[in-house]
Amino acid sequence: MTTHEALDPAFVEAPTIEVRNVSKWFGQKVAVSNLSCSFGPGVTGLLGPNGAGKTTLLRAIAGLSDVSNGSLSVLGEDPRRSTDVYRSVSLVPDEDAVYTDMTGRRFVRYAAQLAGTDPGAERVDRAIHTVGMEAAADRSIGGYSKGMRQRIKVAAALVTDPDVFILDEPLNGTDPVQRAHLIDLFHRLGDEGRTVIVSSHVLEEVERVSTRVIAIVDGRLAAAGSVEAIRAAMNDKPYVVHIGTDHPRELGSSLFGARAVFSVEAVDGAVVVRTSDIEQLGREAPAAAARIGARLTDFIPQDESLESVFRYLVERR
Amino acid sequence: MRPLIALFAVSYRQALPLRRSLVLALIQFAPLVIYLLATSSRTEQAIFDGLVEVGATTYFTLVVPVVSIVIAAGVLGDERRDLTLSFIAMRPIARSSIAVVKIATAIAAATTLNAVGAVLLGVTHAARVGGTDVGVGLLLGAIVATTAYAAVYVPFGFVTDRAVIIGIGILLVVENGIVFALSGLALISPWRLGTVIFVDRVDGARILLVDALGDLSTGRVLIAVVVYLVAGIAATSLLLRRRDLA
Repeated sequence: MTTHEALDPAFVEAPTIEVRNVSKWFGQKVAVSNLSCSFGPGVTGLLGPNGAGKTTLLRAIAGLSDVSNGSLSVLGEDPRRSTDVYRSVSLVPDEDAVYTDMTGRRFVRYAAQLAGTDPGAERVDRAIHTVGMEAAADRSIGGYSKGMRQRIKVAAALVTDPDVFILDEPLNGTDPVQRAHLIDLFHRLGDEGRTVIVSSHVLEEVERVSTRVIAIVDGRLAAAGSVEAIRAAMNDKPYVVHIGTDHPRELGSSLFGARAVFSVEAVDGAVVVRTSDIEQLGREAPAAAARIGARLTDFIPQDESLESVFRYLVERR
Repeated sequence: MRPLIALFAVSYRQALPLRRSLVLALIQFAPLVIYLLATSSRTEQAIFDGLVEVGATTYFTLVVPVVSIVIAAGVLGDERRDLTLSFIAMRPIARSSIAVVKIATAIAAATTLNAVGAVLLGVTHAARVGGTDVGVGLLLGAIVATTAYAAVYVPFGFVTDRAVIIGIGILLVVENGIVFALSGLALISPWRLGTVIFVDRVDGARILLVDALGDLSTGRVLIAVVVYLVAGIAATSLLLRRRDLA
């Protein structure tokens, strides 16, 4: 670990997975661009909007695809060259990578058999029990809901008892009870000292799953560190808010110079305000309107998507 | 060894889903029906000639190739389409071992179906004129041809979704067309390799098919099949190592 890396929250002290200057492109499309970070024991959330490059990065870490540039190591080995590393690594992919004509129990047993571990009934039952799938274990996977498929995939990953879990959007399609159950499980696995990477495009989800987050957008590192640090960084982003009013000029003047307001522009029937703190503006605007006797008709934050927040973070890095 | 046995068992079952198996098993009746229609109320020699020139020819030039291509192209192709390839690839199993098992699966599954046609034709002919060499010859020939087809179409099915269409096109245009005109190319035609095994086991059969087979011997055929197999395993291993896996 270099001195620079020691200070960079994208890197951990005792990494089990190292990603160095990794780029991956498909023809003209750049999916991951010069990304460097590392993962260690405990749960790390991989956050980013859809299409950010999360799945591409996870598949590269899992050794399922080559990188166009840079290097990767998992438990000290290149996952594209050594299949031995799969004794210790499990991937739960986002897509339905299941055999729909198998029962859930057969699927989990098959995972154990392929890994060369003892596919004994007790081990298989334990994995199925861990994800709460006992009742449906002897039904065909073809009849499972999305949430049940997610859980049986997690059971198939668990049955080989790996040190590294890579989970791509594992909470997709799960109901709140299943979600809480899986999140508990991820915490337990992390607490046992395993490396757990959980990807999601939902910040609140990542916040519940992990304390450390790697955020990416457009294939680039947007932010890394604790959830709190990322939230704080996100709060610095200037937001554009459209405030509808019958007195745009007067309201604009009144808001100009208010706390956290960067700029104000009066347009037809509205004021467009750039602010770093929407909540603060939400308190200031009604007060200002009351002072000048104006009526507020709208308060609409523009471009508030996670993607736009991440883009801002990328530009700031 | 246990992971490879499990992989083989599941892959074999996946290669023979009910609907596909029924359709491909029905095709196996075609050589028998054509043979019976072509040899009704004839002499023993005419029945034998009909068996070789019509029954066995239909079996080797159409039935065995179509069944082998369909099964072989699906062995890795279906896993790629169903996104289950990553489930297999992320196991501590060498890619070359996966390649060997997948090709072995294609050979076993296609042979299971092709055995139906060999048994139907062999048993029927034995009932009419006696002898078991026809059935055994058909089966051994089918295994040899299927092995060569599997070595080609397992990796090809992994590369493209159109492997079956392209394969049948190659069968009709190249194997059943161009190679007839250029007999020096006989070794690139898997069904010819199988037919050589058949005619060398059944007395009097080679002379009837000499135009299609030229002077190919069993020895050369076996060497060719080993080359097909080694090349197929190498190509499949390389693809599994180099290509991004779904």
